[in-house]
Amino acid sequence: MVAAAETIQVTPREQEIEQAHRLYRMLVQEGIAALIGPDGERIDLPPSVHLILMRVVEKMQEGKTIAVLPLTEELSTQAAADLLGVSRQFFVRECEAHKLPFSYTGTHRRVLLGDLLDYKKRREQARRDSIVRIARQSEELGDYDKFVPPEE
Amino acid sequence: MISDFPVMVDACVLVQAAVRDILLRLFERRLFLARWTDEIIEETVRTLRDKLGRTQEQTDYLVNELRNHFPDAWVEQGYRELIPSMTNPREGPSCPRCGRENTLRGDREVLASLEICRCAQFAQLIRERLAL
Repeated sequence: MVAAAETIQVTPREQEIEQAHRLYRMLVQEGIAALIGPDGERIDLPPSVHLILMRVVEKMQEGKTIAVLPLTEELSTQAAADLLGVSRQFFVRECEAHKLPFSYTGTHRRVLLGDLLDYKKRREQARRDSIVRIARQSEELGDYDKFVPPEE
Repeated sequence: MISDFPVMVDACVLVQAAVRDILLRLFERRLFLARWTDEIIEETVRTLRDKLGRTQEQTDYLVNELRNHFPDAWVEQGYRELIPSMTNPREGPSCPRCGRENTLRGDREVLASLEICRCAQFAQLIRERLAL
């Protein structure tokens, strides 16, 4: 999906899922966790690292693919479309309608991950609001109690 | 995402308010990707008017909501040549409960259908995709 030098993307293997379970149980405990290096050096995890690690192993124990990338990462329109679950063509039109900021690298459009996530959030909220309005209409018209028999 | 499989939602599904509104919620949660066409929406509107006596204003309200907030569900090009392959297939594993044919097509295509066993299959598919 996302292809860039800065991006790390991994899907846990079967035995790693079990390890992720154990790591997660360790990380959710109260108190400070630490890493011990191969040379025996021990470093306490800073709170921000602890938080991100916990989030990563939480999803890995569910077998999910994880990508870690900075908010300033520039994404191709295909990567952005994949992240949203829409077609590339649709996403390009959204860019051109200025629904979110984008820039050009040569002839290729690029969007910042941060901008994309903002757009995604706005879009999801608008969808939820729309569903509530549709449901209100269905309810007012009494359509939930109606069954429309199929043709044939 | 693991649940990124498109489902062509037909008019016979969209006219049932209860089913439609639940599907929209599942789509919003990205448990599947809903797809439809202009023709499907036109047929939905026609049926809502003819069979439920809905006014133009009432159907416009619904269609505008869909257009404004679910525009990615519209399949615009290249689907017409796929229509012959979108009928419910006659082969494939049958429903364990009632023996009806499976409506799954290949790995990534499902034709959402109204019949209850097929809805059960759809639910089953979602459970499998999400490994619930």
